[in-house]
Amino acid sequence: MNTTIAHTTSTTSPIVRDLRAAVRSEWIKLRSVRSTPIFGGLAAVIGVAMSLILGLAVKTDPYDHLPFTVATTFLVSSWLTTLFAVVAGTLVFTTEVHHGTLAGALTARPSRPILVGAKVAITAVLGFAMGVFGIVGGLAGGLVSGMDTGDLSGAASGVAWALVLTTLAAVLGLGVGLLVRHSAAAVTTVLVWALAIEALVQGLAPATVSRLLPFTAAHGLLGTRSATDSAETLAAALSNVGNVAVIGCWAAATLAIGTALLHRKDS
Amino acid sequence: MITVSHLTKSYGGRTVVDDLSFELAAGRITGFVGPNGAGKSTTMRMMVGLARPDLGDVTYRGATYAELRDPARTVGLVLDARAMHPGRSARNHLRAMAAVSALPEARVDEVLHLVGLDAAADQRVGGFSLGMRQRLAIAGALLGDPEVLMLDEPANGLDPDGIRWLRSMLTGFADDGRTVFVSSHFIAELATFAHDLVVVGNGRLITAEPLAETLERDRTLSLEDILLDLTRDAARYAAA
Repeated sequence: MNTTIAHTTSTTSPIVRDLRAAVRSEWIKLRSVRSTPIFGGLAAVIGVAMSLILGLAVKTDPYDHLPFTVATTFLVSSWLTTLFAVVAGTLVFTTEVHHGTLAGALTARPSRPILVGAKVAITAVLGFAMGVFGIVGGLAGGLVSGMDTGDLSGAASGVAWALVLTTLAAVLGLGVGLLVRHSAAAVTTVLVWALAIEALVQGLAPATVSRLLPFTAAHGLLGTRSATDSAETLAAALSNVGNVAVIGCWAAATLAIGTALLHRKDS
Repeated sequence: MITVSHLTKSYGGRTVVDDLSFELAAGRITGFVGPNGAGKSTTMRMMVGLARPDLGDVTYRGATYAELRDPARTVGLVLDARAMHPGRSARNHLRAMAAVSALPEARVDEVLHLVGLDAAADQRVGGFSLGMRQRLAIAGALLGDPEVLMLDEPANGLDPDGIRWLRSMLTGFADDGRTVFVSSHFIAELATFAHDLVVVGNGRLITAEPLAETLERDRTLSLEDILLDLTRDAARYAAA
């Protein structure tokens, strides 16, 4: 009772065929573990919680002293969603190393770039989905808190940039996972870098340098303000496209080095 | 025909596989034996591209593993039965494996049936015993209906019924003209179905010969005793 396993004679290029097969496998892997809906749910819960806190407890913007509205708050959680997306991205790879399933994937598809390419595609989907859940949560929390809707005319572009950010953030996390390979070490690296090292560099280096750091660029993309932002910092701020380019370059660099390491090191 | 030529591998200055050469013939079951630390697992990992040899190569009818068009249709592998995500069901584990090798999803249910895991197909692997994991790993190896089966300690954790099933499955596989390469410490069990033996110690080849020839070395001794004698000087870890 064997299904005939015929060799396909399709005219599709072998690389496209292999990549498609690898993407399908990664999609099944992503859909079949509990951590995936947990990450999505977490993004939604954080979105709801932050909007509720701003609407019910804080109520007024500390910079311009205007009451918070749905329009000004629904993207606020995107920063935390971004951090979680990076963490989720690292785990896409490091859990494979931890459970030993990487070896199975590599023996089935020995081409490292194909395997990494498939993971990039699926991780990007994960990051995008987390962004969507976070934003929907933010909107829901804002509406539930009773805030005014406010001016939503610029919301579409804000949503678009936030989704680009969470998508790229997850891919950057995958690159970090490829480099570090150990779940706890990779997550620690991401959090220490995002929460401590970049702040340190911002304090020591000129704004023209610190704007090239990935999480600083992420803040720029979200338009996050800080009480410590100097006139120099604001003047050196990159455009949204520039910030996307910075994060994309970091993601590409970590992926390229990680893929090279995957090729050179024993698995 | 699988040809292993002059495989050599060192880790941190210690040579774990040293100029190892042997051939595996179609239609034969070859046992791969040697004491702990002899380099068996490293050799198998080099044979499928998971470890890079410092020297030497392995070819499958003239092609290296990386050159195989569809590796899963050529070589079915079990290198570590624990290598599964505990939160994934047996079926989804196999679905992911089938997908990456572009194999039809219908094969998943076939191999689950073949290894007797139909009833546990939708259970999470984390709840499986070692024997069930071993069966699932073997199911994964059979997905591509491969020409070669390469198994590292496949009998670990199997109950007597499972061991009997494994023996019968491997024998049937070889009878179909396919190649079986199996590492095992269960020498008495191996003696019941292997045709050839590759014996290694300290990473070096001690002998590669038909099982019958090994047994002829001393008719008064069991295969286990003969192999212990052959590898006495090569045992890196020995009980007091």
